[in-house]
Amino acid sequence: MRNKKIYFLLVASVLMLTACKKDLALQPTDSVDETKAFETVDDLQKGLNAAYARYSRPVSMYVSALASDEVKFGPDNGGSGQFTYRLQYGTDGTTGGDVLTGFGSFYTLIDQVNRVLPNIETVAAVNPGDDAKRPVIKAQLLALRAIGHFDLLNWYSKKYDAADPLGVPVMVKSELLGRPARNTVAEVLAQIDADIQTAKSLLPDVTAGTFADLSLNKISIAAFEARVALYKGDWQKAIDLATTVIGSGIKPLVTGDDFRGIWTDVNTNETLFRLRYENTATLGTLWTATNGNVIFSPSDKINNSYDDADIRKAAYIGNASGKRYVNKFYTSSRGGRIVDAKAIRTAEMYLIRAEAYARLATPNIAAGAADLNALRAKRITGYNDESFGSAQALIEAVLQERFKELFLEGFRFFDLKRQGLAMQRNSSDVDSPNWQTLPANSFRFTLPIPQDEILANPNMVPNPGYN
Amino acid sequence: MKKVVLLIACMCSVLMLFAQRTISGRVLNEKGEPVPSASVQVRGSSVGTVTGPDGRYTLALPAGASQLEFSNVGLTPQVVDLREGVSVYSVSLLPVTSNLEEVVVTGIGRTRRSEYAGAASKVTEKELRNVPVGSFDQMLQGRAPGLTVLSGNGQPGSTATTILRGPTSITGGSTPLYIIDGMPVEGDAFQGINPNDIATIDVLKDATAAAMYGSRGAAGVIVVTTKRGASGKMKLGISSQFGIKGKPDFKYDMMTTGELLKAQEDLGLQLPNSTLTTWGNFPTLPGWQYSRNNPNKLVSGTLVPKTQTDFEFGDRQLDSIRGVNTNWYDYFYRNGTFSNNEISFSGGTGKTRLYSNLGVYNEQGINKPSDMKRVTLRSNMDYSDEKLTFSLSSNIGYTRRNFQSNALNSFAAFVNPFFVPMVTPEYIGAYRADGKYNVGTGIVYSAPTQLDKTQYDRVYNDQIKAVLSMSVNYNFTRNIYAGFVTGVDFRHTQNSTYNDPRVFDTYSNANVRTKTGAMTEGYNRLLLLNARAYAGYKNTFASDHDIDVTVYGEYLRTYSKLLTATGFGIDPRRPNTIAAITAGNATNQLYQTIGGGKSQNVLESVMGNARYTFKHKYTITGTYRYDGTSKLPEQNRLKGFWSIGGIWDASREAFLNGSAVVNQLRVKLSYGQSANADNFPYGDFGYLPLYNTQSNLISGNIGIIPNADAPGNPLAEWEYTNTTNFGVEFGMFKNRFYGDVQLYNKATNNLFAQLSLSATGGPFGSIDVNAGSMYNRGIEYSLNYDVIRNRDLTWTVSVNGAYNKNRVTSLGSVSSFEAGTSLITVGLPIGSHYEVKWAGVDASTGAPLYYDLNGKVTPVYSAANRVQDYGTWIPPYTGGFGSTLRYKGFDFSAFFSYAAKGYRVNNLEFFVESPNFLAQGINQARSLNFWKKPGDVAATQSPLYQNQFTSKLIQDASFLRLRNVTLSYTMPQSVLEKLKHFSSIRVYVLGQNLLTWTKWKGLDPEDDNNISLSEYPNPRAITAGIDISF
Repeated sequence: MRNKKIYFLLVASVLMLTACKKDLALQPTDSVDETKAFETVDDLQKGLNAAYARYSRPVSMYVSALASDEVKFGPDNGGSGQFTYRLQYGTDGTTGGDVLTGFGSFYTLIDQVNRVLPNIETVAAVNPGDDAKRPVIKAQLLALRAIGHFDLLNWYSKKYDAADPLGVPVMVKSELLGRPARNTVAEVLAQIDADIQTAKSLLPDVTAGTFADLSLNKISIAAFEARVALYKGDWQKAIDLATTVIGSGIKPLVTGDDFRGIWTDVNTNETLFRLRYENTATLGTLWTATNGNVIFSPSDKINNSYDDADIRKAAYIGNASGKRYVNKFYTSSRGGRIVDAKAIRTAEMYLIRAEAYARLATPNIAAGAADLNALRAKRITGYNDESFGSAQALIEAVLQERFKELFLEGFRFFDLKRQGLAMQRNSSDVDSPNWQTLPANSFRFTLPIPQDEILANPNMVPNPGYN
Repeated sequence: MKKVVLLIACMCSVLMLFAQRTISGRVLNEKGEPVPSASVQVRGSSVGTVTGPDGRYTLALPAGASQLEFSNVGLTPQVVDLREGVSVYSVSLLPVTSNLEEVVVTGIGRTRRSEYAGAASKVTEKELRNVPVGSFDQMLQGRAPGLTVLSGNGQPGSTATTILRGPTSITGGSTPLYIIDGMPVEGDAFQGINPNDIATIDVLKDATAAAMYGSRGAAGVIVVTTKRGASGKMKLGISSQFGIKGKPDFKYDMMTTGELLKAQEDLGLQLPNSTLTTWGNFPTLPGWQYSRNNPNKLVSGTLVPKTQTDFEFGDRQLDSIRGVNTNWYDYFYRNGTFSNNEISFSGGTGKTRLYSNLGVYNEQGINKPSDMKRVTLRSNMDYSDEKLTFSLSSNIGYTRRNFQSNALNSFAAFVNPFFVPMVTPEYIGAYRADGKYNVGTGIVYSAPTQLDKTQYDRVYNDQIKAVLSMSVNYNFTRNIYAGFVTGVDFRHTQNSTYNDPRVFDTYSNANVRTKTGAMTEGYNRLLLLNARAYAGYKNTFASDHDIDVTVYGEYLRTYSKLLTATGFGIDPRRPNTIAAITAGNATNQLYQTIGGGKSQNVLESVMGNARYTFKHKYTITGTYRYDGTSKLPEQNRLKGFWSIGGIWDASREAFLNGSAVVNQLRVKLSYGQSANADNFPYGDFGYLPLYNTQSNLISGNIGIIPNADAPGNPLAEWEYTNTTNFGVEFGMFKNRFYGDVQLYNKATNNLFAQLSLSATGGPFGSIDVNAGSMYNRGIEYSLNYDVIRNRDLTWTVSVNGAYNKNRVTSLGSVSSFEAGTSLITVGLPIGSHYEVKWAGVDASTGAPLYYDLNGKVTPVYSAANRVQDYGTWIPPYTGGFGSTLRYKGFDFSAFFSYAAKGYRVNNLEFFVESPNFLAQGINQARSLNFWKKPGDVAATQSPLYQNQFTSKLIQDASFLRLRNVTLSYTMPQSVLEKLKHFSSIRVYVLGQNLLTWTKWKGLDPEDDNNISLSEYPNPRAITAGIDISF
C-alpha cells in the first residue's frame, strides 16, 4: 500500500515533466514574430505608413534654425538646444543631442523601407486590386529611401563634391548587426537617383484630381529631384524638374488668406508633400511649448527682414505679452502646436528655378527674375517687379528670399553650407559674441557623426574637426 | 576512565535487553504550552515517534535503549537518560538562545542552522515590529550583513531597492527572489503586506539556497515567514500606534528675497544687457532691472537710458517685492499623521492552531497630498497530527496611495514637487489678489503653478494584493514523507490620474484634448501560480549516519495584463471619475485613448536535495535542479543548476568538547551555480525579433514596425553566477558572544552586455548579448555580545557589516557602454561615474576649468575628456549596529545603519548653485559663490560661461542614520494578574530616522540610483503605541 502511493507520486512527476516541453513553447500575444510581420498587401501599406511616420522633417527644421540666424533664445528657454545654438555641438549626446538625431532618424526611415521592400512580391493579395498596389507601394518606399539618403548627405557630408569619400553608408537592405563603411558622395547620389528613377517608372501620372500631398507621387518626387539637382549644381536639370512641377499647375502659388491658411492647416495650398501630425505637437513645440512658454523666438534678423507689406511677417511671426514667437507652426484646429510639416512646397520650386537660371553657364537673368517676382508678388501687397543687373545680384536676392520664404522649413543652414557662405547673426540675437558668426566653410557646417555610432561601428569614419 | 563508563553502559544495555517496556510523557515549551510534532528519538537507534497535538507521546523502547533525545525546530534539543523503573519522561524544551541554534527557512523547507551549509541571516519580528513604514523591505536596512537596502524614496508604501552581495547583472536587475510562506511573490509590491504579521525574514545569500531556486536564485533569496498561532489559550490582541512624520532638514539653505535681489544685481553687473527683459512689471530679474546701478532699460527690444521716473518706479517696485517672503516649504510640506491599529486573534486547541490579524494603516506623507491607507487581513491556520501536517496562509491587503500631482524626478519642466519649492523665488507670492494661486508660465512661477495642480488634480492608485499558500506534508512512515505546496500571488492595481480643467497648467495647454481636462484609469493585473510536490526519505543508520533526501517537481506560471483608458473633456462638477468625460467626435476632437496588453511565462522544474551527516560532526549537502523556461530560445530552454556544501561542527570534536571558552564553532563551505531569471533583461519573448502593429502613428494611420526593444537575440542565455562561500559560526563564553563571519566570491559569467548597434541597422540602439563576466567578492560579519544577562537586566550589543568588491572582469567583444551617468568598464565596478573632471574657476577670467585626459587644465569642456575617477553609487560598505537594554519591564533599543563610499551626482547643485539659472530668475542656495572680478577665488564660474555637468556635482553620499529608537514598558505578570482579563500590556515610543550624518548636500543621501533628481526624502517619524492582549 505504501509503495503504491510512492509509485503514484513518481508517475505523477513524470507526467508533469512530459507535459513540460510543449508548455514551454509559449508564443507572444501582443507582438508578432518577424516571420509573420508582413503577410498581405494591406500589411505592406501599413509598413509604408510607418515609413512615412518615420520621416522626420522637423529634425532638419530644428537644426537648420538653431545653427543659423533664423532664431534666438526665447525668454522661457531652460537650456533646450543651447549647445546647438551656441555652435558648441559635439559628437556626444549631451552637447550634440540635436545635431545627432538626424543620423538615427534618417537611417530608421531607410531601415523601415528595407524591412518592407523584400515582401512586396511575396505577400498574399487578398482583395481585388491588391496586385495593382504593389508597384505603387514599392515606388513610395524607394522615394522615401532616396529622401533619407539625401538628408543624410546634407547633414553629415561636406557641401557637394562627388569625389568626396566621406558620403554616408548606403543601405539597401536591413542589417541588424551591420557595420557599414561610408560610401562616396557619388555612390550615395547614384543610389538616390536609381531609387528616384525606379519610383517614377512604377507610378502612374497624376492630375490635380488624383494628387495627394500625403503620399509621394510622380510630381512630388520630381519636386524632390529638383532639390537634389540644385544641390548637385545640375542647373538645367533643376530648371526642367521645377518646370515639370510648376507647369503641372497642381499646386499653384496663392496669396492672402489662402496663403495664411497653409500654416494653420486650414488648406494644403502650395503643399506638394506634407507629413501629417494628427495629434502630436512635434513641430510646434520645437519653438513654443504647449503652455505658451517661448523656447526659441524668431531672430531680430528675420523679423527685421520683412517689409511691412509682406504678408509672411504676420503669418510667420507672432507677438504676445511682449514675447515674440513662431507663428508659422503655432496652431491648428487640432490644437496648439499641432501642425503638419510641409516638406516640399511650390514656392521652393520657384526659388530653385530662379537660382538655377542665374547659375546657368549662360545665366538667364530675366527668367530667374520672373520666378522671383512671381513669388514676391504673391507675398507682398502692392509689389512692383524688381530687375537685376547681374546674375550674382539675382543669386543673392534668391538666397535672401529663401531665408524669408522658407523660414524654419529646414533650408537656411544648408543653403549657407551649399553656397559656402558664413552664418552671421545680429548682435542683438546672441547673448555672447562667441556664437555670433560661423565662418564660411567651417567644419561645423558638416554635422558630427554621433559618438555612439563611431563606437558601435568601427568602419565609420568620424567627421573632421570634432574630437 | 572512559573505558569504565563504556563498560557500565554495556552492562546496562545487557540488563535492558531483558526489560523491554513502553514509556510515555509530554513535551512542553518554556511557557508550559504543549509542543506538537516534537521528535522523540531513542539515541543510537532508528526508533522514535512524534508528539501529538497535546504534546504527549508514547513509545515502545527497543532493547538496549539508554537515552532519549527530544527535539523540535526552533527549540534547543534535550537528551534524557533512561532510568529503570521510570516510565514517564516529560521535558520542557527551551527556545534557542542564540542565532547559532536557529532554524533556517529556505522557503523549500526548514533546516537547523547546524545542518545548513550556506550563509543566512535572520531578521526577527522584534526588529520589524511597529516600525512606521509601509513596506517591510524598507526595514531591512543594516539588519542583514551583505544586504544593501536603498530606500529610493520616502513616498509612503514605496518599495526599496535591495541588492544582495553586489549587483548580479548589468542590464537586468539585481532584485532578490522574495518568498512569502513558501510562495514566490513579485519583488516590488509589498505595500499590501502588513509588516507586523511577519515573524521572521531569512536572507539567504549563497549557492546553497540559490541552487534550490535554480534559474532564479542568483540575486539571493529573501524568505518571509508570517506569524502563526501558538498552542494554548486563544488570545485576543489589540494594538494601536499613533505618531507624526516630519520633513527632514535640508543642507541647502535657499536665499531670502533680499539675498536673491542682491545676487541678481551682482549678476546684472556681469551681464548688463543680456539679462534684461522688457521694462515694466514682473521682470525676470527685478534685483537688476530695478537697480539704481543699472542705467538702462529695454523697450521694444532696444536699450534706452532710464529716466528719473524710471529709477523711482524701480525703487517702489523693489520696496514692494522686498516685502514678500514666501516660505515655499510651508506650502508643500506638512507634518504627516501616522496611525496603525490592529486586532488579532491567535492560539491553538487540539490539533489546530490559528492566527488572524486585521490591520488598518494610515500614513500621511510629508509632501501634500501623498499618503497611504491600507487594510490587511491575514489568516493562518495549521493542523497537525502524528502523520499529517497542513498549513494554510492567506493575506489580503487593500492599499490606496495618493501621489503628488506631477511626475517626480522631472527637472526640465520644473514640475517636481520637491524641486520647485527650492527654486521658486520667495518674492513670488503664493496667491494673487483674487485669492487664487499665483500661476503663470515661466519657471519662476513653478511653485504656485504646482500648488494649483495639487489643489484639484489627483494621482492615486488602489491595489488589491492577495498571497495565498497551502502546504500539506504526510509522513508515510518515520522515514518516508511526501507533500505538496501550492499558492497564488495576485495583485490588481488601479492607477488613476485626474487632470481638472480648472487647473492653469491644464486649461492653458495648447493641446485641444489636454486643455479640456483628462481622466485616466489603468488596470494592471499580475497572477503568479505555483505548485510544488515532493517526496523524501530520511533515516539514521547505526546512530552515526543521518541522511535526508528529497525530490521535487515544480511548476510556476505568471500572467500579466494591463489596460489603460484616457478620456477628455472633463466636467469639473464631477471630478475624478471616468463618467465625467466627453465622448470624442470630429468636431470636438476629444477622442478617448485606450491601450494595454498581456503576457505570460512559465517555469517547470525538477529538483533533488540531499544531506548526509556523520556523527553530528560532518555534514555534506547537495542540490541539483533542472529548470525549463519559456523565456529563452528553444535550444537554451532546459538547464541544470547545482550546489554542494559541507559543514564541520568543530565544537563536537573532542578538543573543544566542554571547552569553557568556545561553546560553538562551525565551519562551512559551499559552492554552486544558479542564474538570475527574474531579472532577465529580455522580457517574456525578447529572444524573438518582434513587430508591433502601431495603431496611432504620428500621422494617425496604422503601421507595422519592428519593436525597438526586441531586435531579437536568438542566442539569449541565462546569466550564470557561481558562488563560493566560506563561513565560520561561533559562540563563546557561554554563548554570550556569538556571531558569524562569511567570505564569498560570486563570479558571474554570460553577463548581458549592451552591444551597441549601428543606427544603420534600425531603431534599436543596442542589443543585449551574453558576453561579459564580473565578480563580487566580500566579507560579512555579524557579532553579538550579551554584556549582561540577568533575570532583571539584560544588555546586548550587536554589530554587523559588510564589504563588497564589485568588478566587471570582461565584456567580451562588447566595448564599454554608458548606463545613465556611468560607464560600464572592465576593471571597474558597475555604476562608476563618467564625467569630465572639474578643475575649479580661473581666478583671473572667471572661466570654468577642466582636466583633459592628460591631466592638463583646460577651459574647453569636452565630453571626450570624461574619466571614471569618482567611484560608484553602489556603496561597497554597508551595515548596522545597535544595542538593547532591558531592565525588568523596560526595554530600550537603538539601531543605526550606514552606507559608506557611495558617490552620487547631486543634480540639485546644477540648478541652485548656478549663475546661469540665477539669470533665468530662479532661486539659488545661499552657498552660491560665483566669480565676479579678477582675483576672486570662487566655487562657480562667471555667468559669462555655461554651467556643465562635471565631477563637481559628484558627491560623497555616505551616511550614518539613527534608524530606530524604541523605548517600551511591558507590564509585569504580577500586576496583570491583579488587573485580571489581561495577559499582556506593552506601551512604547518609537522614533525613525531621527538623526542623519552625511556630507551629501542633496535632499536625502539614501537613494537607489546614480543621480539624485530630488526624489521624495525619507521623513522622520515619532510614534507611540500600546499592545494589549486578553
